[in-house]
Amino acid sequence: MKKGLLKLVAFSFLVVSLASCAKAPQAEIDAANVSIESAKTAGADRYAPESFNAASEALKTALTAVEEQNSKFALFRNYDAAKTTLASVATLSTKAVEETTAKKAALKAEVTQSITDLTALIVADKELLAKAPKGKEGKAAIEAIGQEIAVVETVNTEVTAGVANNEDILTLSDKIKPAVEKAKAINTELTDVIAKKGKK
Amino acid sequence: MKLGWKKKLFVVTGILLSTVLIIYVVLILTMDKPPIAEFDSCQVILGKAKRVNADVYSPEYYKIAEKKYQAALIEWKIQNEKVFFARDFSKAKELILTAILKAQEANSSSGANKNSLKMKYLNEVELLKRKLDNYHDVFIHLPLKVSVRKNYEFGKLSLEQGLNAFGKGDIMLATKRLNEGKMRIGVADKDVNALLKEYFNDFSKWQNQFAATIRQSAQNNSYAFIVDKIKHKGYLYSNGKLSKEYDVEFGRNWIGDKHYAGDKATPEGMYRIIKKKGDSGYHKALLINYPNEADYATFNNRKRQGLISKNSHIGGLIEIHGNGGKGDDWTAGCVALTDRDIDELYSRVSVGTPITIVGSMMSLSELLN
Repeated sequence: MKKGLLKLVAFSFLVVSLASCAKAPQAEIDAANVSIESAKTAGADRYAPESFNAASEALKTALTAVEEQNSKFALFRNYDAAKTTLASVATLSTKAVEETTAKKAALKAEVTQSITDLTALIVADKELLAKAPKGKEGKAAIEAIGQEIAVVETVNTEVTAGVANNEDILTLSDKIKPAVEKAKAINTELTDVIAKKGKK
Repeated sequence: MKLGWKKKLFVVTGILLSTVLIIYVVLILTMDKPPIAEFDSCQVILGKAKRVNADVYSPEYYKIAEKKYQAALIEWKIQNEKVFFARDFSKAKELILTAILKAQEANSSSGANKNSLKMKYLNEVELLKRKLDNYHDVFIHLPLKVSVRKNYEFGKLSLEQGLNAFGKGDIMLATKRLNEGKMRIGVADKDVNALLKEYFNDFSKWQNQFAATIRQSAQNNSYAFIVDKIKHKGYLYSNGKLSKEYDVEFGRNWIGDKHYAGDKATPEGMYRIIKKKGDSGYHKALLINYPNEADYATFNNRKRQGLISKNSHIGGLIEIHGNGGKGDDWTAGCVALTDRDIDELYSRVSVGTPITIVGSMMSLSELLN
């Protein structure tokens, strides 16, 4: 009877000891790594850098927390804090991806509008150029403006093709904005020249 | 006796277990500790470095810091997989301390690098703008190919795209666009250079001619008119000092000297007014003594060398006249001014006033820079 009781206590101690040995949250670590990689593939490091950096920093914190626990005696390991941080990595990565998607959509709408505006401006600029008088600078200046319009038109064509081919929208946006400004400036310049000529 | 033996065994086992426990506790207390605080500190510094874009502005330091951090973490993991008393974190400590050092260097140099890049960018923008000003002020009259003009315009747009990025604080993109612009403008400049290099072989001759003309104007206390073809300007000198400048237009093939009648080129050399025409078909005109002796010598020499047809004629009737301001090089070889300008010039100069026509009053390097 006494022997049986001793065996039971020893067995219980063994079970409790084994159960107390917490396992490293490898599945959560893998999931966090995947979520960060997905965010990066989506372009979050460029489109949503704050959220992406927060996710990356959280992953670092979680991995050191895991190793900190791994350094402890098996019975005293506790991965709860690491798990919580790993969960926040996934949340932050998802947020970064959502922000990226939203920003890309907004930029795409903006670029599409810019293409429409620029196309109209190019047509208007060409019409104005045909009406423009040969002033002091004359033919050379008119030719130069013609080349400026041609360059703006090339950029418009490139950006239009870029949108159709799903190229990086941030790059396309950076490309088209100055072209729109240029076309507007040409428009103003030509309108002024024609108006001055009209007054004479 | 039997109980005594059991008791003995119990005591021995107890002593053994206690010894093992003591050894275990001693090992636990004396075992190497992982550099947790250093890892925490490194994370904070790396985070700061990232926020000041050290990965962009101090990429070398930042990359080393990141690599060392990852290596330290791997080393920590490797040691954790060993039996606790066999763990040695010295390598992990060394790696994380290097990571901290490099992250700090990345952090502190990032701001300075950013400012230096900004300064470099702005200086280069100024240089490029000067080149573009050259194009608009000087080279715009040159008979350049469409591809050359396009390169200038592409360069200009790239520069504007760069300035747009610079305005948003993205110096790296701004620099990228600037370099694209530099490349385009560099190609265009090369073409312009090739076009002008041969033409400017005569620069020392032009230099002597316009210097002599100004000297003559100073010595005689009189007027002299110098035409700079590249700049499309006519400069009226009075008593050796610049008195007025006018926009001028030439014949279509204005680059180079006049070779023969009908070549639509404007002659280059030192001339004088031989007749003032108040009732010219071009409003008013000042006839110059083209061809002079030097022109005849050059013309005959070219004929002998077979550079021009034996049947060609030297031409003449080169005038400085009105009807200009068309914004084009349209004359048959004359120099055209607006009617208002020729009125003014006509009233100041007289028969005998020196007229010197040169390719440029500035050297090619002065023009290009």
